Amino acid sequence: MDQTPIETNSATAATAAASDRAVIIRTLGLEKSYGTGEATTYALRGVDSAIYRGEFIAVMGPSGSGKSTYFNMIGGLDSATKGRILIDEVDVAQLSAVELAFLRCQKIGYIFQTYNLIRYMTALENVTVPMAFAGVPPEEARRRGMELLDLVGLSDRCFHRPIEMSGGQQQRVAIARSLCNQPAILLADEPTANLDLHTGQDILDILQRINRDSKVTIVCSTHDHRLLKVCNRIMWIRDGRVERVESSENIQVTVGSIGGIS
Amino acid sequence: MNNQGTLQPKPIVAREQVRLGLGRCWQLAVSGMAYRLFRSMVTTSILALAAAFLVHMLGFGLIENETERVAYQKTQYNRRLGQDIFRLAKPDTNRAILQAFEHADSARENEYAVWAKLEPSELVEGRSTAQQLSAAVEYFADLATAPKAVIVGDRTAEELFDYLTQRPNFAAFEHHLQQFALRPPLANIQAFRQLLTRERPKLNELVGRIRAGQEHAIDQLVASVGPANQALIDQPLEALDRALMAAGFSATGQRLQLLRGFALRSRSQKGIEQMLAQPQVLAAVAGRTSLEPKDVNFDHVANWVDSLGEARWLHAVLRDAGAAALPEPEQIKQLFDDYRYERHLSSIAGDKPPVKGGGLWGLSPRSQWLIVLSFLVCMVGVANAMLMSVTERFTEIATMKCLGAMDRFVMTMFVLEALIQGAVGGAAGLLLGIILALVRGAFEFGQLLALASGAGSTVLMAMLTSLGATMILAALSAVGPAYVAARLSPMEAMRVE
Repeated sequence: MDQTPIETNSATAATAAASDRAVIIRTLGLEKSYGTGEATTYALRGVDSAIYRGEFIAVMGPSGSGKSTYFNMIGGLDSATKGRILIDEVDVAQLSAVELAFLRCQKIGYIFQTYNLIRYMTALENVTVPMAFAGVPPEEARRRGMELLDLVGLSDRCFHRPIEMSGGQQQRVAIARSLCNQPAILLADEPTANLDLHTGQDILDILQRINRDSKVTIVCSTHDHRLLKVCNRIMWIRDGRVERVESSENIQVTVGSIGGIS
Repeated sequence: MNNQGTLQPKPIVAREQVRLGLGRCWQLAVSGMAYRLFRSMVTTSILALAAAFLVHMLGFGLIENETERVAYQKTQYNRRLGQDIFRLAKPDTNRAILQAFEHADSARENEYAVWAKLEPSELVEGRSTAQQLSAAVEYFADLATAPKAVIVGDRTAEELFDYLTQRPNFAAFEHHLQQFALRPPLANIQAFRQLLTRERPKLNELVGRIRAGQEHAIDQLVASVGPANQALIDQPLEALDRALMAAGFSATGQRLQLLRGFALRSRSQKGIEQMLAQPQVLAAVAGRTSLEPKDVNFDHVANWVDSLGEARWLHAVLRDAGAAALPEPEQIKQLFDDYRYERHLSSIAGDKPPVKGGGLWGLSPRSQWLIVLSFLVCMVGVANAMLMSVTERFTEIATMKCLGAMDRFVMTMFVLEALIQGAVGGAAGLLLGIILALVRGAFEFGQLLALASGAGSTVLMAMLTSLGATMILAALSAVGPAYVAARLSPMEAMRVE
């Protein structure tokens, strides 16, 4: 089977980079296909991967490589056609709808390329929504929401609605929102794709700070090469398979220049 | 950094998500609607229009029904007054007597018992015979065309009964019954035969006695107070009361006063009608009213004499033409006003009592049909409005699901929102609809709309029902699309734009 070298590859990478850490997300032979019979199209063709607790991993790959699908799978937003997803050694497929909602609400924070703030809520209200779902009392939620907005540097804009904010500010609100229930995992799907270079850098800085200070596991898909400096490891996905996994020091050593990577 | 502690990741354990209370759902639904105020208002106004349509149909149906019912009662009452005066001078017709028996009209039956010196048993028997005869008349009227042509032909009911009383004709009738495989009239053929040969002649004889008795009573009345028409106007009420009692008539007290009013009015009307026929009055009225001289009559003049000024003018014309005992202009105006009111009443009332639909607030089948139709229209409008307002928020639903909202929360929020919009829209539509119904009623019935005041509570019930229906409809129409949206996996929902 052609997955064998990848298996060994990721295994070596794992031992090299973080052998002492526990695996928080593990996928085993993950497949996702749309349609049936002749018309079946595969988004993922058997992905085996392991993401370690507390690391900052970047997922890279061209468009259509299955990156986003992989993201949605490990975030519990979509169900797999075949294979297993283990989050903290719990099989996501076995969770009931209520437990899945708990997982999305309390354990995973999502950051989307398009921010996906709720249009009719202020920044603060947007941040407190997941806390409302988690049953946090409104007073407490507001207090925490202000803290988080402060963390992303937006405490002065807490009563603005999304349309009154720039893209970078919206994304920062989204980050604050994703953090509000102290998630163990932060999934960022191309968080800087819609932002200019400078704002993108701000977002990456914030993500890095969160990872460093709070030991939140961050999985970040991106085309942004600046991310290589920020993350611990990089996983390349191509044609629905994991092509390569490297720790970032190796990349800088082996490639030497950013132009040679993709 | 002070956030460090609060940001420490928690270990992952599979636990159940907290269920949100209704209050929080309510807050979220309201704040969402407040933000999308314009869109919510559009949805709400669609609901309001639908509700207004429904309330208008229901309300107007009920108002129309009640107005027609009361108008019919009032005209019947007036007709009865006229009859009561008429029968002080002429005995009741056979038909009227039979009808009194048939409907067990106790006032008339008492009079008949006095005049014909009826035994109570005779009264009971007469009543039952009259009812059986009426049932038989109905039976023959309901026959299918072919048997009806053979059995009834062009005879009236009385002629038919006379005809069938003869034995050979009855035998032929029995033969026809078998031929057409018809059920016999009444319980069985013997009962019908007996009704024709024994009970009907007895009843006819009874009716004859009653008429003779009434004739005698009328003579007695004329002897004591003079002809009834004149006596009702001239004689003191006590004397009239005594004379009527002595003659065995049951019209007394209050009713006598009503009769007097009626008699006075019809005399004045007759006086003016006669004056209008005179050439000089005719010419004067025609000149003033742009009516053709040949069209000048009480009915046409009534359209025109609707103010005191016109009444004064008419009064002057009639006085110049030499009218004796002319009423004052105020009275003339009142007379024409009353006439127009009654004409309006009877135009609305029709000849038959209004059709009772039974079931829904006693509405006629036609109105019920219209209401069912308008309900369907209402439903389509509401369903479309709700469908739109849910589908345009798929992304929002998906986001909420990503953030840990459960399907039931999404459902609850949308249903609550639909309920609020249904309540607001329904209430607005309720007001709009009832105003429309009243305006339309005012156009159609004019001042007679006041007759429908008795339907107030029913209309209120109907309005509240429509409000409830709109709310439930809105909620139900939101359930479908919201369910679909809630069941989608978040990523799929986000892909639907």
